[in-house]
Amino acid sequence: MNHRMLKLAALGVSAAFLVAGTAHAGQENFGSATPDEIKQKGAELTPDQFAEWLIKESGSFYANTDHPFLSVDEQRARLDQDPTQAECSKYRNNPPDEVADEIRNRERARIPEPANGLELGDHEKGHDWALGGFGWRIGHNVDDHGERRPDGGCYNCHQIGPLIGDGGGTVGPSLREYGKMRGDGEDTRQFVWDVINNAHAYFPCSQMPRFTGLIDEDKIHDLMAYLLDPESPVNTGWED
Amino acid sequence: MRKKSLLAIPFVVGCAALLAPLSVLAQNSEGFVHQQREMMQEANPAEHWTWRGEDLFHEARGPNNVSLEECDFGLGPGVLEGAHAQMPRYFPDTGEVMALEQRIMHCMQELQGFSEDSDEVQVRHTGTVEGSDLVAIATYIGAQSQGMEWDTPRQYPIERQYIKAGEEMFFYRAGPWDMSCQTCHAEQGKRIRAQMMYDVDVTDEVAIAISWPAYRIGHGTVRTDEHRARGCYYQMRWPGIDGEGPAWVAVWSFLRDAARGGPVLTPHLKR
Repeated sequence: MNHRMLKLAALGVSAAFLVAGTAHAGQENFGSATPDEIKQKGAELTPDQFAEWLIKESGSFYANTDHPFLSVDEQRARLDQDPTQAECSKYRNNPPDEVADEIRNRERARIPEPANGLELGDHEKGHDWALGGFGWRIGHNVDDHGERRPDGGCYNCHQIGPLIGDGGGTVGPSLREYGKMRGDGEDTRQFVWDVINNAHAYFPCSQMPRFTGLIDEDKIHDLMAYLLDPESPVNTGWED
Repeated sequence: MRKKSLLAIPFVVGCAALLAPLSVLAQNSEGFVHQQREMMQEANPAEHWTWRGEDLFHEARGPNNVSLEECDFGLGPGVLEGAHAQMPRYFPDTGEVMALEQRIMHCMQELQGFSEDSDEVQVRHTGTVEGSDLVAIATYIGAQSQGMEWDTPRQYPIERQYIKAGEEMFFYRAGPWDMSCQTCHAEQGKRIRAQMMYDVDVTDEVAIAISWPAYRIGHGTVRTDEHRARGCYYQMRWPGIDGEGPAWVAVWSFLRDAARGGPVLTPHLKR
């Protein structure tokens, strides 16, 4: 276990014990509902409408009013779905062809051009950004981006480098020896840039977050290096 | 009996400390974690919460100086056997679908007279046996359903509507990371880092996963389903979920329905 991992583990433990009996301090619930209102809505609405009402109007979710940079309204807006989120929810991540095409086109158009070309950054830094899970959490214990920049959290879902057990989660495909298998040519770099920014451009209703704006651009270049640099442990560290 | 179990605690904690890193290193770690859990289940530290919960439940307490024995958890006043296995349920006296924690809080306020803002009612996440009355009482009541099958009622239309709406919530993608419960819990054998995720279509996996309250080895304390749901929505980058709100009860109604017929393991032991 390296220092970063120790630090992350310590953070996890302290976060677990922070809140005790202060459920209402610094908390602003979105809406409210009496038992009668809940019953009435439940009887009137279809299940998906009722779910949306429960999520947005019934006082079941809340903003943290002490948040260092997000207003209550900005936190509330997280419960609204954009068209891609709404369609993927409706089709449970398995959209029919027409909808899939629509999603693919819409999300492809949102991928930005890299400001400094498709250069590879620093694979050692990329390792840190892939391992870290910091950023964007709100609710009972907010991530203050003023203290630390958001990470990619890649290891949560992908096997990548030879570090944690099998090398990470299995929700996404394995990226073990990714660059060794694919090289680091222009097309591959473009594909990696695109998928980190917006996986839906290739895989409509992918489970992967669209990282444009979630992590800084320099971190995306470092992550590209982590995957593609021939010297990266992703490509050199696996035995047999 | 109690003495013997007490002596087992250092042994259990020692085992956990030794085994936890190994489980992460194992090539296919889930089988190993399962073995670890089986080994330790007989000396589950949650027993301490059960004992304290038992005392708290039967003791005359609060401004009204009465016990919780008159509280109806759905099967009649004071009937605890099987009560947790059959919640959330609709309670005609409040007109609400309630989960175990909410029903306990309701009775502590209405029967015993504790105020809504009192520590007894509000402290729900804590690192110690003594820290939260609610967690201890929930652990005691949960233990009375151990070995039974999850059997959430769907008699009233509102109970069925909660289950259906909870299912819709399960698939509702939102937030900066575009996440829903489906992101992690709709395929068998998937892991987040080293942690195996239950698949919502596999009854026994859901039944095990939702068996709360449970002693969480990594936290060194008993946690409730409210705490688990909070952690999920937090990692999903959604706004905070309120354990007193109906959306939370709807999600758990759906999950309990998905676990129907699977085993109730409360108080469980988790990583």
